[in-house]
Amino acid sequence: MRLKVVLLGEGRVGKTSILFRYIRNEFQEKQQSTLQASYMDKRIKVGSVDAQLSVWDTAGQERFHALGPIYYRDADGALLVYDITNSESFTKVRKWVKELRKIVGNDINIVIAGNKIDLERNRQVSEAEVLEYAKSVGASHFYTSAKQNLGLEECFNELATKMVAQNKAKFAGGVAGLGVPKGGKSKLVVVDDTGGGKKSGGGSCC
Amino acid sequence: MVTFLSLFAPDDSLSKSYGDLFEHPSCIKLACEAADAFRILKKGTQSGPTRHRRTDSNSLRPYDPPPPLPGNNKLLVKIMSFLAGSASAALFLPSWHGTFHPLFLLHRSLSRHLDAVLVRYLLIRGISSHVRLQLWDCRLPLSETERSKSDFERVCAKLRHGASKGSHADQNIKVIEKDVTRSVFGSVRRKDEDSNETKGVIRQMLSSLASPSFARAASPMGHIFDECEDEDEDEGQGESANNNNDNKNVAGDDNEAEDDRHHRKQSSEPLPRTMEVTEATVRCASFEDVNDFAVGGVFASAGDSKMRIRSVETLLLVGSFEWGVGYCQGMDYVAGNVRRIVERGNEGEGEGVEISVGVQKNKSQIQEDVAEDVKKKGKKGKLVSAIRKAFHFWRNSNDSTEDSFVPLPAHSPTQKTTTTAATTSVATSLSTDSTTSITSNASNTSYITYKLTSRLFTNLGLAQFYAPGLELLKSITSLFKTSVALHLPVLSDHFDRLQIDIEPLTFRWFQTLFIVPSIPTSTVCSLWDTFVVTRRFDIFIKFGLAILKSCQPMLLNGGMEDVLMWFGDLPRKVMEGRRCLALALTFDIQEKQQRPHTK
Repeated sequence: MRLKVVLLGEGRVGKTSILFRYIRNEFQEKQQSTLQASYMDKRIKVGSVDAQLSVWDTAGQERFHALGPIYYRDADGALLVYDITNSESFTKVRKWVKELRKIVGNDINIVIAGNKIDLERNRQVSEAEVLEYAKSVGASHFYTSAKQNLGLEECFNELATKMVAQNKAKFAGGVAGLGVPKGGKSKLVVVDDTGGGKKSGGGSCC
Repeated sequence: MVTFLSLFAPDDSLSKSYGDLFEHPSCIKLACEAADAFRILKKGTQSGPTRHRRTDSNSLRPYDPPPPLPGNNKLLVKIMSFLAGSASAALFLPSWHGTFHPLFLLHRSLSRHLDAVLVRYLLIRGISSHVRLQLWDCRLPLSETERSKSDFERVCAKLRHGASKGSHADQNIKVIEKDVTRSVFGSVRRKDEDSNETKGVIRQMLSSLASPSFARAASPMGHIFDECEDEDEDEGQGESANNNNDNKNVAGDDNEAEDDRHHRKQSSEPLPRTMEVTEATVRCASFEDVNDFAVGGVFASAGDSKMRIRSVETLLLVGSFEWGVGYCQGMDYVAGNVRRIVERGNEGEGEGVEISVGVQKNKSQIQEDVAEDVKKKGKKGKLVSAIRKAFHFWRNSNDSTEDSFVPLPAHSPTQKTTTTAATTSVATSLSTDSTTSITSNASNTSYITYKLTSRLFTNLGLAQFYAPGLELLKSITSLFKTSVALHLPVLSDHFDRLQIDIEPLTFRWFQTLFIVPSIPTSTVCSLWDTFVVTRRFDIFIKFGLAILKSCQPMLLNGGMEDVLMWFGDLPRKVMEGRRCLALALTFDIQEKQQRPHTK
């Protein structure tokens, strides 16, 4: 099962570092700003399912926000990263969640990661606020540190588990046939000339 | 043909030269270089005093408006278009610049063809780094930038002392600084440390500004072209072209030889220009080495923070003048490359830059040492002597490169005043104050870089390219995607089958205008030249197609991972040579035709 995950978040919160640490177990103190979307693969096992995570790294700078849709439009999951020492970056997470929910809908699984937990002493984002927010949007929240390799496995595992579960449900729904409201990818529904059909037809693009 | 042209020629010698030219096989290639020369000359006559080295019989008369066309316009244009390549070669060779009235007419009717020829030439053969600056100067008239040097220096000073609050420009600087700090210096900003960090950036900028390598002093670009047109230099280039394979060894000798030639040149009158020599230049330009990667050289190496700082500095300046340019990732790459082009052009060693890396390094090291010396002595109050020593050194070191350096006497009065001012301030404050006195003379490279960058962003529309929303970038990548579907249908189907969307993968290509690892600088520069000449982005799309096409077999055989890896890290050997560039010309991009398919 191939699952696409996008890393989103403000610039310099550590998306690339997370990716490198998670997949290659490497860390660079002076990671350069990402320009190009890069992509890395990792095979993991979720329960009994073999899954291949394709993780897409994106550029975080404000102006690149506009490119977001190109990255996340067929993603199964999004890892929204913020920097606990930068409250602005958390504001950006809220923005991303809003956008994802608006454009992709509920199909995309969201996990929020508070990176740079090794800099706890400089924390600017309050824990209570984050947890409350994560709960309100139905996302899991993890603290991570790419530098010290903390919380990354858990973070990605959680995301993978969610995605696998959803994919299974989707697959089952598709086989079960018509009328499943969530079955955006079921082509049978498109034939149906109802309002619901149109709706799911619009959502079904591969 | 020859007889026809001779109608325009005021004397026999000219028409004879035409005849010679037509038989010469490399006419078309020459045409372009000559055309550049022509434009420079034209500019040169307008700016007058900068062209001091042409004297007497060879001197240029101020430009007069061309006389009306004799006879049938259409016929003339037709014939001229037929002759395009070779005629322009004849027309624009600098040795006839005294007679360019009719030539200018022809130039106008030919300009379209000429551009096509020029693009071919720029892409396939490349031009030497000297000519590049000139070409850009022609196409983006730098003398017309709104900002004068005094303005520029004012802002420089402002940056140095920290921007005062208030005006648009200052706000803009702040915004850019924030972005730049974050993305280039990689530091995490925290509120309480804001001011410190900003100062840090400025301090770093300052130290780079004040470094002696900026001491290529004020001279309009016209000078440089004088150099590169000159046979003396051409001979040198010819040599290095012939020895291209083992020229690393002879680099040192070459440099010395060049020094000699420069001395000789100063005294003697212009030598006759010969075809072979210019041909050698052309050949040499096309050999500009392929192992020189802009990214590898400038940005990827963590050690080269100076280069980064310089590009940042340029961006700050552009941002402070051009309200609305702002900062976007990718712009630092562009600015860095411009800086590189300027520095290389100013070096006066052209192709020799890569060749004589060792020599260069030594020199810059010494310069740094001198700068250190200046700082130390500045602290001790011995500044005047230190600065004198430093200038003496620069004069010596610059003699070997270009005469684009300010002769000491001209500036010594101001030197004295500034140094005395500095010595008084030294007593109280840090050495940064002392170095600023040098900076005022030393910022010329940065000034030219600034002007070029600013022109690129404003005149060539790069600002829109990077504007918030990145609409232009998005439409270019989507156009690229449709172009792939149109020109490389098999590959496009393959991508579809693999469910690969090439749009996000190719952003970087366009975003940095192909400053991508594993594409040699010379190739990038050729692309940029073309971009500057045509003022259209389509060359980048074409080049992207060419890359894909040249790798098509590899891509078609690869699975999803292979393809994605390929995009992440372009194979080196594919980029070598100018095959891709030649290939790029075979594509025809029609935006209007393809637009409907895009959506």
